[in-house]
This record gives sequence, C-alpha cells and structure tokens, in this order.
Amino acid sequence: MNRITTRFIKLGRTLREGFRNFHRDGWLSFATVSVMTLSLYIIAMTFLLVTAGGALLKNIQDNVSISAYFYPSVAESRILDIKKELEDIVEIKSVVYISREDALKEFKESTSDPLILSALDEFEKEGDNPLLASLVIKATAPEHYEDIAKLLSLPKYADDISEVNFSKNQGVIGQLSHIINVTRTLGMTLGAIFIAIAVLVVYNTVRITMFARRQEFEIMRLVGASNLYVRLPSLYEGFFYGVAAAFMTLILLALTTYFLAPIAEGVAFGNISLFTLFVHYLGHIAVTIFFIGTLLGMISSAIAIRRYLKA
Amino acid sequence: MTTEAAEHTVPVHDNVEQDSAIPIITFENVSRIYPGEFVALSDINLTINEGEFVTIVGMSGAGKSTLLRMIYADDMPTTGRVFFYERPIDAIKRRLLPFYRRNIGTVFQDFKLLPNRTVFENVAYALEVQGAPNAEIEEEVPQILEIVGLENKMEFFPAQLSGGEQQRVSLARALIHRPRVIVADEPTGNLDPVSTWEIMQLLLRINEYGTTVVLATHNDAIVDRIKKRVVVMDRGVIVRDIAQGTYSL
Repeated sequence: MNRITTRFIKLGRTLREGFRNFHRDGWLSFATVSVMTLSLYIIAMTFLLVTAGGALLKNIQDNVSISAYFYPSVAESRILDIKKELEDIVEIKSVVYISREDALKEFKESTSDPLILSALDEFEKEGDNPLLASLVIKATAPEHYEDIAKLLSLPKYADDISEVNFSKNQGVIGQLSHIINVTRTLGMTLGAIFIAIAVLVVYNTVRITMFARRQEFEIMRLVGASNLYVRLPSLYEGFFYGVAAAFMTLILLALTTYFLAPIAEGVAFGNISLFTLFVHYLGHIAVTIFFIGTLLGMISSAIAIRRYLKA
Repeated sequence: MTTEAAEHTVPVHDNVEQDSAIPIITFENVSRIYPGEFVALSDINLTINEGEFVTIVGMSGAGKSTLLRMIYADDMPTTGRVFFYERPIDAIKRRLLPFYRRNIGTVFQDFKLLPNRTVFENVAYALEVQGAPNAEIEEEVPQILEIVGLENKMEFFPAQLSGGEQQRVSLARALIHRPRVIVADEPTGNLDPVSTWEIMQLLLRINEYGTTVVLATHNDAIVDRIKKRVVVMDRGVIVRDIAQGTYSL
C-alpha cells in the first residue's frame, strides 16, 4: 500500500467522520448552527439596512432641489439666459425650466380636488394662469444648496425672481449630508461590533462542542492518530456548520425581507424595499455569508481543538 | 470460569533469556517536577526488557501513572531521559510522536471507549486512524475480538457490555496494531474479581506471545498470584525491584 492511497483513505475517513460528528451530535450541531445563523443574519441584516438607508438617502438627495419662481412679467428668454448662467456653475448638476403652462398642467395632474380644479378652469377661461414659471435646480451635493440659495437671492436677480423655495426644505437639506455620514459610520461600527461578537460566540460554541468530544481526542491520540487526522474531522465539521448556517441565514433573510417589505414600503421613499435589495444583492450576500460562515466555523474549530493536540 | 480453575491455566514461567535480554524501555535518572514544586518522580532508573511482564505497585500518588505516561509519551521528564530501545523519546519530533505511539498499546481503568460506536468500530478505530485499508480492518478486527472472547458481541455498544467485557474491548483496541509494549494503568481497578482475573490472563497470554507488558496496579492478590517482576514505588521513588515479587508495600 503506498502513501498516496493511505492519504486518500484518511481524507475520505476524516470527511466521513466530520459529517458523522455533525449529524450525530444533533443538539450540539443545532446549537452551533443556530448561533452562527443568528450572527450571520445580524451581519447580513446590518449590511442590508445600511445599504437600504444609503439608497433611501440617495433617493431623498436626488429629490431635493431648489425652485426659483419668476414673476409673470419676466420674459421666457430672460429665464433661459439665467438657466444658462446657472448651468455653468460647477456645483449645479441640473437646471430644468418649467414654464407657466407646464406648471399648470403638472399642477392639474397632481391635484384631484374638484374645488381647486374648477377654480383653475375659471382662470383658464379668462386666459389667465395663476402659476409662475420656475427653474428647478439640483446641486451636485447637498451642502451646496445653501450657496445656491444665496446666489439666487443676489440683487441682480431681484427683479426676476419672486421666490426661492429653499427655506421650506432647508431643514432637510441642512441635515442630509450629516445623516448620511452618521448612518454609514453607525452601520459600519455596528457591523464590525456584530462581526466581533459573532466570532466570539461562534468560537465559544465550537469550543463547547470540542470540549464535549475531548475524550475522543484523547483516544485518538492514544491509538496513534496524527494531529492532522484528529484535526481534519473538526475542520470539516466547522465547514459544515458554516454551510448550514449560511443556508439558514439566506432563508431567514428571504423570509424577513419579504414580510418586512410591505411594512417598510409605507415609510420608504420611492420603491426601495429590503426584499428588492436582498434579491438584487443575493449573489453578493450568498457568497459573503458562505465565505464568512465557513471561515468562522473552520477557524473556530482549528483554534478550539488546539488545546487537545498537546501531542 | 472460577478463579480457582483459572489459576491452573496461568503460565507461570521464568524469564529464561535473562542474560541476552534487550532493553526496550529504559528510564535514566528521570525526575518529573510539576509546577508548584510537586515532585512526581525523583531520579528513577529502571530498565524493562523485551518480553518482560513488569508490575508497578504503590499507593495513589506514588508516581505509577506518571511513570507509565512517559512510556507512551504523554508526559516528558523534567530531567533525565526515557529510551525506547536506544532512542530517547524526548528527541522524537512532535509530528512523529503519533507514529511512535503505535508501538505502545494502552489500557486504562476507565476503558476509554467511544460510547456511540460498536465494539467492532471501537477496535477498528485504531486501524482507521492509521489509514489501514478497509479489507485489512474487516479481517483483523474480528481476529483480535476472538482472542479477547468478544467475537459474538461485535455489534454491541459499550453500554450493553459488562465492565470486564468493556476492558476486553479496550485491550483488543490496544492490541490491534501489534504494539511492542502494552501499558496498563490500573486495568482492573473497576472490575470484579472474576473479570479482573480474566483480564490478567489475557495480559499474561499477550506477554507469552512476546509483547512486553507494564502493569500498574493496587491489587495485591493478582500481584502475589502471577509471580512476575514487581517494582514498588513510594512518593516518586523506586523502593524495591524484585524479579518474582509479591505485593508488600
């Protein structure tokens, strides 16, 4: 019998042994997998929430704008000139011109109040339009809005612009970048803390599993099993823990995000739902979770078994 | 089998090859001091020859177990050396210790059987870890189990066996890779007199086939009966070493 065959025999046996340990000590495996699942779930959930939060804020950010309303007397060409001027400013991302007619059309579409609609009809019959033409300005970053607002209130525009609606959004705009930054930092810190906790908890659980099996290690040593032979089944077992936990986590994530989606929709802006995010990032999440899970299981096993390998 | 009947079947014979004896285990000025200045062994010099049956007696804490543990490299001397043939055990690389241990079969008071494996699996285990092919395992395990008289209980679990039977499984496991030395630390400590005697007979038979046996025991009756070499220990020191001794502390 040559060494290669022996090696393969041992590889097969340790794999079988690892699987056997995994399904034989049912409760212990269940406990370990549960703890790992919970840890992975918290990590993945943190990731999803941070991503969702980021997307949500991005969405708000995209919807934030300043509108400058022009006096009815201002000619369209003058407004378009100002539009050009504004478009040359680097901090401004886009400027959209909404004529009085467009504004009226939009307003009519957005309201369903019959009183308002009939009032508007009255105006129209007289060839009048109560709405003002406007430029809707979007900045490249939220912190620029204040400067843009100041620019629009310069004396040179005083005869053209009747009103800048920045003030009513001011509260939101002012805090936007702050909120985004705080959320990211908080999410990452929480994520890091949870990962650290997960590592410790999983390590301890695996250690308990190993402790329960210490006599087996002793016997293995006494009958002349090499350290690698003692170690391999546990490593495989750690791998199985990781795979099982990752699988459970994915199911749990799918369920929670699916059932949370309708609840979250009410508060969310636009159409961001955790479930859509989950589906969108499924590949990433699955790979990451399988990777973290199996690595966590195997490293924990490797460390936990060390004390029983005094040779 | 009664103890009376058993007595007659015991091969009582002298070590005729005393002169041409080859030392298999040699303790050379071995001391073992545990943390806290507890001296378990103090300057032990002891030579065990190939094919010998050595009984180590002494009270609890006399250092018997420490002495035995050094033979299967589970503990190392603080000073001094232990040799297996001419090879100092402390010089064996950690990585290679498992291979060294296959020269030594071990039997303990608490049997150390895996509770969730059958008799067959427990014995097969010792071959499995060495990477022995299945065909070899299928062939050798029943043979060994027949020697210890458990060929009809191969599919039993340890909990379904008596203490004596469990110890016989443990002995079969120790024998399966044909060790040169059997180290038995109080193998009969948990057994009734009949089982004790059965185990002793097996050990004597194994010794008759050429395997060196080192036995640590409290049991004065068996020591007196087997009339083998007795090494008496007290507080980490060998106080007497008698070729055909009796139990007298």
